Formats: sequence, structure tokens, C-alpha cells
Amino acid sequence: MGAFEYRQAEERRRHVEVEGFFVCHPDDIIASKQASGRAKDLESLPRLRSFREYWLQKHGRQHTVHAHSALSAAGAQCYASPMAKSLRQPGSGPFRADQIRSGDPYELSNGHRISCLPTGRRGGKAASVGDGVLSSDPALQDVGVEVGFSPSPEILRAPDLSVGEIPDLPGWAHGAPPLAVEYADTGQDEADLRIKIRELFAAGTRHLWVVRLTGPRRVEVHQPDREMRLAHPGEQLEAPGILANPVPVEALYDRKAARRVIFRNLLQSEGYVSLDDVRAEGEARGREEGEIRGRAEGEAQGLRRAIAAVCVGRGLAADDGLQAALASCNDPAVLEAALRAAATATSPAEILAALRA
Amino acid sequence: MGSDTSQKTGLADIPAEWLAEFEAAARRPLRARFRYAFIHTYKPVLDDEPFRAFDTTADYRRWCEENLPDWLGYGRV
Repeated sequence: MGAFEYRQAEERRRHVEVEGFFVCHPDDIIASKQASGRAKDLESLPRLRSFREYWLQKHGRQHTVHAHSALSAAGAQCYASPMAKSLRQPGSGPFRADQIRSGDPYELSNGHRISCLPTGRRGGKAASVGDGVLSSDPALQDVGVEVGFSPSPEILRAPDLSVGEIPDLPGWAHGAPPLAVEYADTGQDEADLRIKIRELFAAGTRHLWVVRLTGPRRVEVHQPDREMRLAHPGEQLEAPGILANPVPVEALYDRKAARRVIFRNLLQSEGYVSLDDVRAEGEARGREEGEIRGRAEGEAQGLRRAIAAVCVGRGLAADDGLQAALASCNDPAVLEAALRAAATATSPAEILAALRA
Repeated sequence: MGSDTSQKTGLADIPAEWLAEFEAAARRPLRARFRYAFIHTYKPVLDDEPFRAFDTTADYRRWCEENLPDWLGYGRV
């Protein structure tokens, strides 16, 4: 990211929302006028600085402190996420979850709208991979993609993936998902992400995984009241009571790794431990079926021979029709009836009739 | 953030007249503030063409310095 673009990104992040309109932060307006060096801009600075002071008194200094901390975080790590670009103003904002419609590009934090941009290519693909893996877990209730959770009217948060009970109903889900997954790519609003995590934990989320797609792939494992830990490829993520199986880190973004996990999970859902388990059961069933089929075939063959022997013994010449009917009959019960008929028949036609009965 | 932070002012330093104006503006609804924000004042030379286009801000500023009256304030100090 170039210096100019970076500055623009910072300024976007710092914007102030006035009755639904996005406005430059006063500090950015002052900095811009100061940098221009033009007489008319410099003349306006004293009044502008006074207004800034007045505005901060009205809205609280926290906003500026917050803006600075957001900048520091963005400067240290330029991560990005599919969602969320904004900075909170202190105090409650005017918006409520029931004013936001499905499809509106906003989340809500303390009544302030957080604009959400469409997901980037890499983030969208990775989230789809993670969705597949989590959806296949045998213990899973539901997985939602960007489902809006509203634990209270002034909060509406939509994790990239949410795992838990999600009623099959329109509108926002209540509370918060027990497990939430966020994908963070270039441009991530780190300050907002921290607030989002706090809000979800406050509403009941027990596990939150942030899949970092920039730099070396890794997953931040967040849990309430615990230090965040990093999990790297090769390590497993666990969510006891929510997922039955551990999730390998790479299965949350790598489709090949995900397929292996999905396959294992699907087998487990059907009661198998592994593919070898399936193979062993197939072989056993094949052997059993083979034995049954072999026994029936042996029995039929014995009956055919017995019928032929009785015919010869009684001087009944088996014509072509009778021989063909005997050869094509595999049902031991029919052949047995034909054998009984052969014992008393006066002609091959009576045996044939028994075979065709 | 910008270097303006080195020149801090407190509410007590704000002229009473400005403070009254800020308070009055804060009481106005956004619609009225928009209306007041776009009152046009004619600026000689600058407003004499329907539009001009520049490739860069630097080009625009150079043009301002070379063509506009000094008292308009578009020149660098």
C-alpha cells in the first residue's frame, strides 16, 4: 500500500458520522488545510481549531484517543477483513437493529453504524472453505454465513461464520453464536475488530477465531477472560461442546486440507471411524453375500443333477425344452417341486410343467 | 495525525462570538446546515469559466497562484 493510499485509508477509518452522513474528522481537515500552505486555508485555521476544541468538548476526547489508537494499530499491522470499516463515536448512537434491513451494508455497535464492504476474493474463498469444514462436523447444530446477531437493540454484529443454533427464520438472530469465525485480509479495521470481539463475548460467544490471511497464515484464538493465542498450520483448534472434532488450522482456508477433514467428518456422521473402517465392512458384507449366493447356487446345481438322474433312472428322456428350463432355473424351491414331479411323472412334459408353475 | 496537535486551545481561549456561532450551528438541523454551507460567493477569474480540469492538485494550485488575485488567498504563503 502506498503512503498516499495508506493516508486515505486512515482518514476513511477516522471519519465522523453526522446524522447518517460521513464527514472527515476535524483533525484531518485541519491537517489538510495546514499542509496546503495557502493563505485562505491558513486564515481559517484558528476558527477551525476552535471548532475542533468545541466539538471535542461536546463529543468527548475519547473519540480522538480512539482514533489515534486505531491509527497505531493500523500502522503496526495492515490487516484486512471482509467486513467493517468505521470508528465509533463515544456515547450511544441513534440507530437500532430493527432499522437495519437484511442486505444493508451495516453492522451496529452501540447504536453507531459500521459500514461493511463486500468481501474480497481471497477472504470470500477462504470463508467458503471454512464453512464447508465446520458444516461437516458431526456435532454441529448450524453454521451461518454473515448472519446478523442482535443481542440488544443497539448492537448488530455479523461474524463471517457463526456456529450454533440458528433458527430457520427471517430476521436477525438473538444473542451471539457460541463460536464465531472472522477472516482478516488486507485493510482490516483492527480497532473495530477488537470492539466486535468484545461485544460478541459480552453477548455470550465462547470461542472466536480470527483467520489471518495476510503474511504467514495463522489463526488467533480468542476466548473470554483468556489471553489470545496464535495457532499455526499443523495445529488443531478445538471448541468443546460446539464441535465434535478438532479443526486443523489450514482447513479453515485451504480447500485441499478442508476436503480431508470434511471426508473424515462425513464418515463419522455415518458411524465410521475411517475409510479403512468402511472398506472392512464392505469386504465382510461381500464375503457373507458370496457365501449365501454360493450356497444357493450349489443347492440348485445339486437339484438339477438329481432331476436328471431320476429321469435317466425312470427312462424319461429329457428333451431340449426340459434341459433348457432346468438350466435356467436357479430357485431351489421350484427345482425341488420339479424333482418331486420327476419321481411320479409319466412324461418329461409333467416335469416341465412343474418347472414353469 | 496532523501536526495541528501542537497548537491546542481550550474552550476558554475560543472567542465568545465564535462559541455562540458554534452553539447556534449545533442547534440547527442538518438540512439547514447544508443550506447555509453552500451559499455561493462570486470569485473573480476562478468563477469566470464553467469548469477547468487539472491533472494534479499541484497543477491546480500552480494555476491558482499564477492567475488568481492575491487577495483571494489561493496562493501559498
